[in-house]
Amino acid sequence: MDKRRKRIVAGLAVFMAFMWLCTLVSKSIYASKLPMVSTTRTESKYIEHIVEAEGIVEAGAKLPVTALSGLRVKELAVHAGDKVEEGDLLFTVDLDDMEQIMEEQELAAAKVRLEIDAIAHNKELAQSRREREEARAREDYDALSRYQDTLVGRAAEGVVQAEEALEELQAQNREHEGDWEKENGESKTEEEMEAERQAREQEEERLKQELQAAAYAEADAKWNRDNTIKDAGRKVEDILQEDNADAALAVYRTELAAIQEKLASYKAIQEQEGKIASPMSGMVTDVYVQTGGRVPDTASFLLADSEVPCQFRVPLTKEQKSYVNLNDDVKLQLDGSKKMDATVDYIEENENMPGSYTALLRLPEETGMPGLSGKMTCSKVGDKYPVCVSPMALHTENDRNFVYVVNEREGILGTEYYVEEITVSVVDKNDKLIAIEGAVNDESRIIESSTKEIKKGDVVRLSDG
Amino acid sequence: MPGIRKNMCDMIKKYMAAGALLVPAVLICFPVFLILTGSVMDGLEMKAYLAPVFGDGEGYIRWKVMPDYPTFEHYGRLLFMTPSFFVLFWNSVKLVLCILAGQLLVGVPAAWAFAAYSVRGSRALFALYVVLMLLPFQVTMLSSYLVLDRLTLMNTHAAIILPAVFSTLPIFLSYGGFRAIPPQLFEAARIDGAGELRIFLTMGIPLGKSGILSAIVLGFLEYWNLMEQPLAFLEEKALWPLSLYLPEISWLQAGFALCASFVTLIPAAFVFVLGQDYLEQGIVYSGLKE
Repeated sequence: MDKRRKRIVAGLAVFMAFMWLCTLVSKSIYASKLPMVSTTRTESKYIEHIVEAEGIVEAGAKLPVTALSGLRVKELAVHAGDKVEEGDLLFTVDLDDMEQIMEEQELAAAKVRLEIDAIAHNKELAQSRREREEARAREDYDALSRYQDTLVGRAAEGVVQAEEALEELQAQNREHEGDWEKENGESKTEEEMEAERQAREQEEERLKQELQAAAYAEADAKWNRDNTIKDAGRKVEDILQEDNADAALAVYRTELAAIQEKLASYKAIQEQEGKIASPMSGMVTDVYVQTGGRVPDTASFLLADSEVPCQFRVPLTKEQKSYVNLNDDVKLQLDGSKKMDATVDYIEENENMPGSYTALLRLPEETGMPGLSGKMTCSKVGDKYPVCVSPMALHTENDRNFVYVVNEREGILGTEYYVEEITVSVVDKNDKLIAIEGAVNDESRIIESSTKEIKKGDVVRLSDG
Repeated sequence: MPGIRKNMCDMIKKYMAAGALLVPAVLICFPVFLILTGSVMDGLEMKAYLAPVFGDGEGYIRWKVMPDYPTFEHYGRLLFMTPSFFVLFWNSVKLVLCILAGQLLVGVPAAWAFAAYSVRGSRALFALYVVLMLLPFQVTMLSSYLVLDRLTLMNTHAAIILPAVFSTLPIFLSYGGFRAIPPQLFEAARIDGAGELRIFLTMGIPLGKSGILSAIVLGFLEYWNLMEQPLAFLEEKALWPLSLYLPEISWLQAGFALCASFVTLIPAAFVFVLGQDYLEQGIVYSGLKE
């Protein structure tokens, strides 16, 4: 072989060696760029729902602590969470400010007193005036009664006289009827007899009319008497009638009593040098006063009622709520204590946050204290599903759920694994497993994790061989 | 003076002939030049030049001797980031080496037998060989397919190697080399007591190496650029030779394709340059009369 051919052969050998080296380098670069994925097979399992939620212990009942409203708080001695005994100092009020309030109250009390005095005096005057008017009315009543009785008596007498005159005339007429003889003994003529008869009838008629008039007069007198007496009686009644109800005096007196009571309370606080003490024992759960602020007319503090067991309040999401029901048995672990059994006593939807819920669990007596945190665990075994995967294997994009599945294909580099995207629907899930439905079965190799971001069609390398 | 004038005329004729031949030579070499420049051309620049091909189809493509934005990005990508190219490259190397080795083992002794021994019917058999050599692949594809399928060799490299090993072309070319050796040499050797194998190994092969090597060079060039057989008999891409890699590249990556073409060309160029002399002799042998 001549020299030229040797150089050509050497060149070809170098080229082949270079290609071999490039093969190694390109394969190593290719392999280093391949995402390494770990896969898993689908499993048929029960989906157990474990709801774990953290909450806080609250007082079972709260007792309000009130103080005289309007006082300015000089210094707070307790805070929420503090435990206080009966007589312990809660806060101190500003005495200077309170003295000013007391002066205002005393001034108000003086004004009320003056009002009360004026009203009382006016009432006395009105009473004496009414007594006098009553006496006069009674006197008028008596006088009118007597006078009217007299008038009635007179009318009755007129009636009696008219009756007697009529009876007397009628008697005379009966005596002289048929008496034809005159006083001088002469006999009367028919005409005379007729004239006498007519005269007697006329006289009788006149007397009857007088009698009737007298009877009428008597009736009128009686009616007049009754009316006059009734009016006089009414006047007396009117005078005797009570005046309109007037509560002003009572109001002023009540107001005065309240002011005096306040003043007494102020004085008591003043004697205590402005210190407000707790009237009971318990833990302070809520504080509604602040330094420099005024004491409200509602409760200043709320203390946990030590006689009522505490309760555990735990917020739940809508999803958690679907697995936690009323009267469910749950496990509860408060900080620093062992797990205990508890029951869900109450569930309510939060008004301010629709879609979120709060569960309450009553704690055994002498268990927990307000403010203590803890964790509630509720476990529920659901249905058995044929295809379950790890939550890591499920991907979501635009409300579409899918899993990546490894498939094999023959390529230039030989058998290679590529990623296939399969849309699935989630049937049920918990923190560890997700039950899915779709074009996957127990033979599918579902990608759980990848060293790099992968997408449909990507070639990958299996970490599990 | 007439002698000087004649020399001048000869020189002018010579230059004119050279000039006339240079034009077709440049045109023939143009594809290689296009591959070389295109393999180092930036993608955007090439897209602009080839816009009539990939665009609306109007106008003519343009080309530049020296790219405005030369880059070796395609070479870097091909050589260091495309392992599939090397899979096919080594497939080609494997196929070519196996085929050539097989042909050496089968074809050279066969050619020696045709050339050295006058057996009855050997000429007819050789004529049949020549006829088989003339048959294009498309004619024998179905029968080859049936045989390979029966032998369960489909989709294996053996489906390419075995038919090629028994190809008649290397026999034909080697036969010419062996026929050029004077038969008296073999007779003398036999008289001196040399056996047939020794005559073949010590006399036949060295004296007929031009034919053998030309068969190897031609065989290499043919099987390095193998197209139809792999397409027909190889289903898995992992078994394909390099010649099928280029059609796999989208023409939107023309620069990369030209780069791959250039690298593919290199081994063939080495072999061609190495065996150029033998190739010429082989062609001469193939034209010798019986």
